[in-house]
Amino acid sequence: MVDVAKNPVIASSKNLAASANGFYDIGIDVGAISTKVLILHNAKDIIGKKVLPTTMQPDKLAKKMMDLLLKEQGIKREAVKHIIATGQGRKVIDFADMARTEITAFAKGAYFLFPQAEVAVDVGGQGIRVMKLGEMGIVSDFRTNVKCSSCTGCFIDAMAIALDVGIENVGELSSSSLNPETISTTCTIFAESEVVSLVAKGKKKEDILAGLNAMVAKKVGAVINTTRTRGPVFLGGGVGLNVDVIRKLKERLAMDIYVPAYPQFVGALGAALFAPNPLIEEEEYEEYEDEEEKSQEKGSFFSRLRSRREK
Amino acid sequence: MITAGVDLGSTYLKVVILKDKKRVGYGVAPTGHDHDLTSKQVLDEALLMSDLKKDEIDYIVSTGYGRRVTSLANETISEISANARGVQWLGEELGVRTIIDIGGQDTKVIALDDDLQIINFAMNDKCAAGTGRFLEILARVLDVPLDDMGALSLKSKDPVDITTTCLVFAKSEVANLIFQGYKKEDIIAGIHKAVARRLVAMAKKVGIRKVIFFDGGPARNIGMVAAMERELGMKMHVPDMPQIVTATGAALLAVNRFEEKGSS
Repeated sequence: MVDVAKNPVIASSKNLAASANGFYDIGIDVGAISTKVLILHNAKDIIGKKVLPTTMQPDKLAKKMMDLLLKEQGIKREAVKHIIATGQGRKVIDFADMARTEITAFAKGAYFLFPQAEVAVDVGGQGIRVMKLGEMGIVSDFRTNVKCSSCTGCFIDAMAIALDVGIENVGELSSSSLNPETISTTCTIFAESEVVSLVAKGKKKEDILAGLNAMVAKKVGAVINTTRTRGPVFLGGGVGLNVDVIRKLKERLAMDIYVPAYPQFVGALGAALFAPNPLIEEEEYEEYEDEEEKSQEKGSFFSRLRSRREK
Repeated sequence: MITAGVDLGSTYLKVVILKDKKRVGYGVAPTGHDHDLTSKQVLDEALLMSDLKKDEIDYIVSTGYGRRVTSLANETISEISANARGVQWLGEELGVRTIIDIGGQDTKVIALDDDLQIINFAMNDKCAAGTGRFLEILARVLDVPLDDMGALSLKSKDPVDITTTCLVFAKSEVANLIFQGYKKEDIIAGIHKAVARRLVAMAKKVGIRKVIFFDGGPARNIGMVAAMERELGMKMHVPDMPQIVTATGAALLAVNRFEEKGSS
């Protein structure tokens, strides 16, 4: 498991009582599968966070999550300096002060949590994104796969449902396998059928899961290898919670892979860290922003939701 | 001579019985989990239709992705060969040069030369996009019976663009389109367009030559055919029973094999 004490951000959230003063920023990450909201205190400490499945009305959901978090922490809305949105649905969040692409936000979060990282990988619900981090954590190159769901979070999700295993138990159950199965199909839809027929043949759930996790580790490893890095690698996104995938990935790549305590919140953290800060020059990110917009934004359903509202 | 072809597809199991090279019976049923049992049941159905008994059959050839699972067959053959054989027989006078065969879990494009022999082919069995499964699952999301998709889509005046490729993402996209109030017929027409685009892109890699023969279960969908023809910019030939072309091909190959065995 990930050592919480090693993580400065999470550890310092214990000092909540001492942080009555100062300012707060909120990061909202509207992912394809789940929405993450987090409150950052004095641009360094996470003092509250929530994750819920993304709904058809992500703006209402995010607003509700934010209000709940503020209430739980006893923070007044006026004390919040900036709200920054990221993720595929970021532009739907009309109450945000600004928006950042998921690449830039994730890289920012990764650099903050683990500045040694040469490469940051985001294995999220609907895509695998790999970024090469340069000086100051600035993205020098990135690759995304958002066309195919194989080996992403929703792939593991679908398999867990087919096997009737809670998603949170997938990693541990799979680790107990002594006889991993080989999964022959790649496509999530076909793998679902394959899993069902393996169950019908009496194969053990842990062995099927081990086969699936090996497939995910292989794919994520191949994506990391395209950067030709020797590590260290930062890995975030929901799949970071799957201990067996991480273990298999470490074995496969034989390099240092750092997974933060709350891998799902890297993007939201990065977004909150984008709150105006005199030490960071915004312009350096602009170029990537545009490039990414072109490659990813074209006709996503979040953008359609937006354009329909504008009509 | 009486022969049978058994096509064990990923989704449907098809049986065709030939008597003196004429179709006298056929059967179609979901493949299910017990392939061997289903193949026997569907064969019985086809026998009933043809008014024949099982021991009157001289030779059985199985094909399709589950072809090795049935205990009925005397021999197995790949679905590419079986499909091409079926097309050669059905379309002898049509001058078919390209076959687009769309199945439940895979798609095949076969190029034929002037003697109707296979010269090239491409197959997608890696990704559900562009297969029958894409239509089947999205029909379920839309809560429209699969068989009604074609007629409904023809009502569309403004097909929606489906932007995602992966079926998993397309499911959310379609759910989202319904939520936003798009018309079902426009969404369905968009789905057909998305599948057609993938199939045509695949066919172009193999090389498209007239006449194009379109078969497999989804070829029964008139909306799918219309979308394909729009995407191709030309007409295709769709047989009366596109779902049993491959099983027919297997039964025809059974005729050849039985004759070969008899003469040797």
